[in-house]
Amino acid sequence: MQLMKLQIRTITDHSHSIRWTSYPRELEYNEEQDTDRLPILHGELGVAAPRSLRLVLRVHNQAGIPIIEGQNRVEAGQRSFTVSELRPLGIEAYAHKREAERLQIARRIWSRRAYGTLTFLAAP
Amino acid sequence: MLSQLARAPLYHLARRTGRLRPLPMNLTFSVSYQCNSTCKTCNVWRKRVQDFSLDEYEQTFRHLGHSPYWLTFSGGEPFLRPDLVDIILAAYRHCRPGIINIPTNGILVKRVVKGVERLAREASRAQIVVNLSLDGIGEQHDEIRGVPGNYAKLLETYAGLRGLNAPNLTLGVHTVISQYNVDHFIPLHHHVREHLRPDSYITEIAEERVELDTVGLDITPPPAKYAEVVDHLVADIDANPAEGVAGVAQAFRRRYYQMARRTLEEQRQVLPCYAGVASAHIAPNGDVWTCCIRAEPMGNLREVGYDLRQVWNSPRADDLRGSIRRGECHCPLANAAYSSMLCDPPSLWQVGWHMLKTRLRRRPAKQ
Repeated sequence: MQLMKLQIRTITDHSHSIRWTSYPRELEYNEEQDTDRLPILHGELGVAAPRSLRLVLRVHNQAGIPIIEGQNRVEAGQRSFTVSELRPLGIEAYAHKREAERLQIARRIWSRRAYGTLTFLAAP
Repeated sequence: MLSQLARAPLYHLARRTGRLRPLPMNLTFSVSYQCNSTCKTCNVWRKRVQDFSLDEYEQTFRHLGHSPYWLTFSGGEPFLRPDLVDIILAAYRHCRPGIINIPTNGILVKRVVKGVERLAREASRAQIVVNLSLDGIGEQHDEIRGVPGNYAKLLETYAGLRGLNAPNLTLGVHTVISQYNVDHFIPLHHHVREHLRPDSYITEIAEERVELDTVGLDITPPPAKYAEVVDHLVADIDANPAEGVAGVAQAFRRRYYQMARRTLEEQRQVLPCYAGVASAHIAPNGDVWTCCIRAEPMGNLREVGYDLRQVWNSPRADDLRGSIRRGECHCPLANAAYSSMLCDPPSLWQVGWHMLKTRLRRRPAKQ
């Protein structure tokens, strides 16, 4: 099993609760593990989250265009987190297509990933 | 056009400060994703959303007032909507735009010709620009566009539009330069100049756009090949300078080609982008985008009573404008680039300088 890495280029922290040295610089994923969806990305903070956070990951192509988005929560006290359920931007216009076809489209778009950006928000 | 130049400093200030938010002068409406072409360079025909009704457009234009000067009605194939002309005339009544631009594949011959004839007659104070999409000669065009017989129909539509007695109609031809035709571009250009002789000829590079779902398609020609095309187009402009308004348009086009080439080579925002400031795009379902490249909704008109201002002044819109201002993305999108050039002092200076040089060069020839 070979883990791949998605470099995180910028991080915006609207929660103001994590020191910049503790931000993840990359997320890891296993390209071959999930055949029925886009990969799940794993990341780790340098310190445990002091409060519950919501994070938004955006995956960009080489031209800086956001192409895929995913969200998750990091509970207070946790260091590691995952981002699953990645969703290509605009995929809702394919709601009429079969799941397999949507996955094929998602994989094509995922193939253009260049880097990610993360936004942390205080979770309600 | 001069009135728009007067607004340019306002947009320049808006982009720099991020505080002012004048409504855009250049608005594109994709009226439907439906398309009767299945181009190799586009997947929009596969997409489906709930399109705005005529009444929803009417409400949108009423709120917009006279702010937009340049309106584009795009698709999909816009003429597949039987109410397209009614939509555009509603925009004309409420917004009084100076330019109305419609790209079309020209397949629906009668509908396009009759529709444009009515539009040019009833929107007599606007300049109607109809651009026919042409990506190759004969069968090559049909193959790229995925429709046998498309080329013949395009010629029929072209002839029909040429035959109209409409002084406010500009008949253009538009080519998307992609992997599929970059090697045949120069003969195509000669063909257009010698046989069609349109009022204007514009080209755009095939690129990855979220709207068209082309992310991950290998459609963009290599920078070196595109550079050859740009050299050819620039040399052609220099050898055949136009006069008057056409000359101004030509000078902007020349500048655009050079910027597009550099953007592709340098992979950065060469021209400061005013998408989300001076230009914007409305999706068929009312999503408001800075541009069709990013196609990231600032908001949806259906959720705000069809009032663009509410979306335009939202924190989400400011976020997207900020991202573009910081140069986090780059692209050679022509539509946004033209309004960006109009708001960008160095571009205006270069366009003006080119026009002056052209005029000086022409003077001895006249004497």
